[in-house]
Amino acid sequence: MGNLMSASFAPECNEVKTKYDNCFNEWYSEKFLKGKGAMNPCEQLYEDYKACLGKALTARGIKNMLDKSREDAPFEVGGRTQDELNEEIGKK
Amino acid sequence: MVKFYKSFYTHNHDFNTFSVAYFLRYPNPYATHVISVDTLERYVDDQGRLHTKRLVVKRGKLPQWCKALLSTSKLNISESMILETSIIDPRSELILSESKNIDFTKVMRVVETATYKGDLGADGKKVVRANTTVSFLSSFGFDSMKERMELWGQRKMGENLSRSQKGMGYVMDRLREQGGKIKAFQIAMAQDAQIV
Repeated sequence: MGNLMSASFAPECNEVKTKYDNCFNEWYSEKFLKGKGAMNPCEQLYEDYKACLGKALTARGIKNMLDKSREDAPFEVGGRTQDELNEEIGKK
Repeated sequence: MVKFYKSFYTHNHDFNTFSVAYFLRYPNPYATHVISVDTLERYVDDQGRLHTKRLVVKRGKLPQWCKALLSTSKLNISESMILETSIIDPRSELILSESKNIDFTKVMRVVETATYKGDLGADGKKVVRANTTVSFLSSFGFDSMKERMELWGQRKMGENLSRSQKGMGYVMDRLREQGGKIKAFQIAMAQDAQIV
C-alpha cells in the first residue's frame, strides 16, 4: 500500500499525527462542515501530536524561524488586515 | 519592487467537498514535491470558524541560473518550508487562506493569499470561486538580480497555480467517487499512487 496520508516532517511524530489526522478528518467532514462541530473529540490526540511536534521543531531549529514568521500578521498582503478580513467574513 | 500575480478560477464542486479536499490535498499526483504536512495550531473561534496553521515542506524548484549562484553561497535550497494559515467559515461558505515561505526569505518571499467562496454556477450547480493573489519580493543580491528573481517567480506562478488547481480537482473527484467517505478516499488515493 502506498502512502495513505501526508507524512510528518519528523518521522518520530508520524504515528501520533496519523491518529490525530484520522480523528480530525472524520470530525471535520462529518460534524464541523455540517454545523454539528461544537464538540471536538480530537483534543487529547492533538495534544499528543503537538507535544511531539514541539520537541521536533525545537530540536531541528525550526521553531525560531517559525516564531519570527508568525510575528508578521497573516493576510497582510493584498492590503487587508486580519480585522478587515473578519469584517469581510461577517458581511458574507 | 514587489511583483504580483492574480488569478480567478471556478472549481466545479460544492463547498463541502472543496473544504474537505483543502486539508487532504497532499499528497496528490500533481503535488509530488510535497514532503510533509503538519498541523501547528488549530482551534474553533467563538463564531464557529476553524483556524488552522500548517507547516508544509516542499522540494524546492529553482531555475538553473539561480542554483549556480546559490551553490557558491552556503544556502542549501533543496527543500523549502511553507506556513499555511486558513480560516474556514462553514456558515458563509468561505475559506481564507495564506501561504508563505518561512525560509530563504532573503532569496525570495512568496506570499499567496486566496479566498474560496461557495456559489452557484450559471447552470445552478454548486461551485467554489477562487480568487488568488501572489506577491514576490526578492532581497537577493543586486537590483537586476532581484528583478530577475521576481519576474521568474511571477512567470512560474501560472504553471504552479494550474497544477495546484488540477491537484484539487483530482482530490475532489476521488472524494466524490467515494461518496465523501474519507477512509475509502484514502485507500483509492493509495491505489492511485501505486499505479502512477
